[in-house]
Amino acid sequence: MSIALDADAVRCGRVKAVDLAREAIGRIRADPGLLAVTRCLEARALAEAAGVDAQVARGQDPGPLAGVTYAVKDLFDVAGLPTTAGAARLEHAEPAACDAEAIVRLRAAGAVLVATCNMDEFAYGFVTDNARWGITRNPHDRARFAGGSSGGSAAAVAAGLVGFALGSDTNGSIRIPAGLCGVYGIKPTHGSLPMGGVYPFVHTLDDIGAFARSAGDLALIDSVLRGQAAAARPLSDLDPAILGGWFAQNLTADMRDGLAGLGPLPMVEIEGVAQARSAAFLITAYEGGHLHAAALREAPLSYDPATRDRLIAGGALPDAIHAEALAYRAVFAERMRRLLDRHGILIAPVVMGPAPQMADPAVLIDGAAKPARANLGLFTQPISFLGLPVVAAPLAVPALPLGVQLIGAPGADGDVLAFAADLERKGLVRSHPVAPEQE
Amino acid sequence: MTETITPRFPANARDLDDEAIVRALGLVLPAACVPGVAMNVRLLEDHIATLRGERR
Repeated sequence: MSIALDADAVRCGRVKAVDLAREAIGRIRADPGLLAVTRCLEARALAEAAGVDAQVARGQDPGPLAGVTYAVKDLFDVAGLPTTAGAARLEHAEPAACDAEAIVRLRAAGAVLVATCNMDEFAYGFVTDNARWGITRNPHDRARFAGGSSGGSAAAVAAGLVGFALGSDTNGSIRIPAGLCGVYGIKPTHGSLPMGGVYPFVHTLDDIGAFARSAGDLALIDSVLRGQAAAARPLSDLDPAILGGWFAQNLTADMRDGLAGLGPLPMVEIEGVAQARSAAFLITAYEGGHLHAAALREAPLSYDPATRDRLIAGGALPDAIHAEALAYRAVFAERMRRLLDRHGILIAPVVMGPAPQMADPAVLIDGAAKPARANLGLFTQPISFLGLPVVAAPLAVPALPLGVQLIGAPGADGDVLAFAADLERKGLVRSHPVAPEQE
Repeated sequence: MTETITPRFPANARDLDDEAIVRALGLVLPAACVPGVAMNVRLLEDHIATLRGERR
C-alpha cells in the first residue's frame, strides 16, 4: 500500500497513527539482524503519532503524510540525541538542540519519526560497513551489502520496517543503496532541499533525499521536503536516451539485459567521464579531509581506520588540486548541458550489477578486482559531480535488484520523478520489497 | 597525529614506500595509520593523473 493511502486512512480516522507507529516499532524490534536501525525512537514516535491522532479527533488535517512512519540516516539532527554521523567517536556527543529542517517539514506534514539508521562512518563509503554499528545486510540476500553510505535507510524501506526514509547523497550514497536494495531513491538538484541540521561531508556535493517503495511515494515525500511539487514537463518532451561509453562498461549480463528491457532507446556518449569521476573523488577527499583535519590531529585512533586513512590522505591534498577539479566541473557541465538539451532524460546504471557479497567485497573494473567500499560509485560520481537531479529506480527484474539512474538537467527534479512514475506504470521499474525476518 | 609542517602531497607516491610517503606529507602518524594513508595517497595520485588526462 502506498504511503498516501496510509495517510488517507489516518486522516479520515479509519486507522490510528499510534497503531502504525507501534507496528513499525514491532517490525524494527523483530529484525535486529538487518542492522539497518541504530536507534529505535519509541517514545518520540508514539508521542508524535498521538499528536496526529489528536489532530484528527479535533477535525484538523495533520497533513499529507499523516501517521506515515519513517527513519533518517544517522546524520540528521534529532532533538535530544547525539548526531553520530555513523561515528563511534560521536556516540556520546552533545545532543542536538533541535530537529534538522527536513524533519521539521516532515513532522509538519504529519509524518512520524521512528528510528535512526546505519551508515558508513561520516558517509565516506558505498557499503554501510560500520565499525561501531556493524554491516547493514541487504534484505534480499543477507550475505550481501545493502550499499551505502545510506544503507540503513534503504534496507529499512526495502524490508518494510518503515514507510519511507531519508538519506544523503554526496557521490551516490542514496542512489547506490536504493539500487542494490530494490527501492526508489532521489538525489535532488544540488542545494534544492534543506540541509540545515545535516552533518556535513563535502559541501560542494552534499544533498539529502528520500527512499520509498513507489515512484508516487517518492514524489509525495519530495514535495513535502521541497515545499511544493517539483514542476514537470510533458513526458512527450523528454526524449530519453541511454548513456553509453563509460556507463556501458564493466556491466554484468543481467544489467545489460535490464537496460535493454527499457526499450529501443538511443544511446549517447559524453566525453571525459573518467576525469569527472576522478575530479569528484578528489573534491571529496580534499573537502572531507579538511573538514576532519583538526579532529584527526587530536585523536586519529578514534576514527574507523577505513575512514581515517582516506581522510588523512585527502587532507594533505593541496588547494590547487581542489581548484583544478572544480575547474574541470565547468567543462564537463557544459558537455552534459548540451546532451540534456537534446535528451531531457539520460539513463545509466547505478552500479555494474547486483550487490556485492560481504565475503568478497570487491567489484570488477576493467578486469581487476577493486574494493567495493570506494568503487561502487563508478557511475554515480560523474553525475552528482554536476549536481544533477537523479531518481534511482529499481528495474523490474526477477533476480537480485538492479537500479538505474534517471538523470535530468539542473532543476528538472519534476521531470525525473515523472519519468520514474511513467516507467513504473509501464511495468519497467518496480520496487522489490521483502518481508522482514523474524528473529 | 602531530602536524609538524604543512602537509605536502608527494608528486611521485607510486615510487615511494609507505614511510617515505608519510615523511613527504610532513606528518607524524601513529604506526597503524601509515599503510592505509600511503595506499590512499597513491590512489589520489592516480586520480590526479586521470583528471589531467594522463591516464584513464
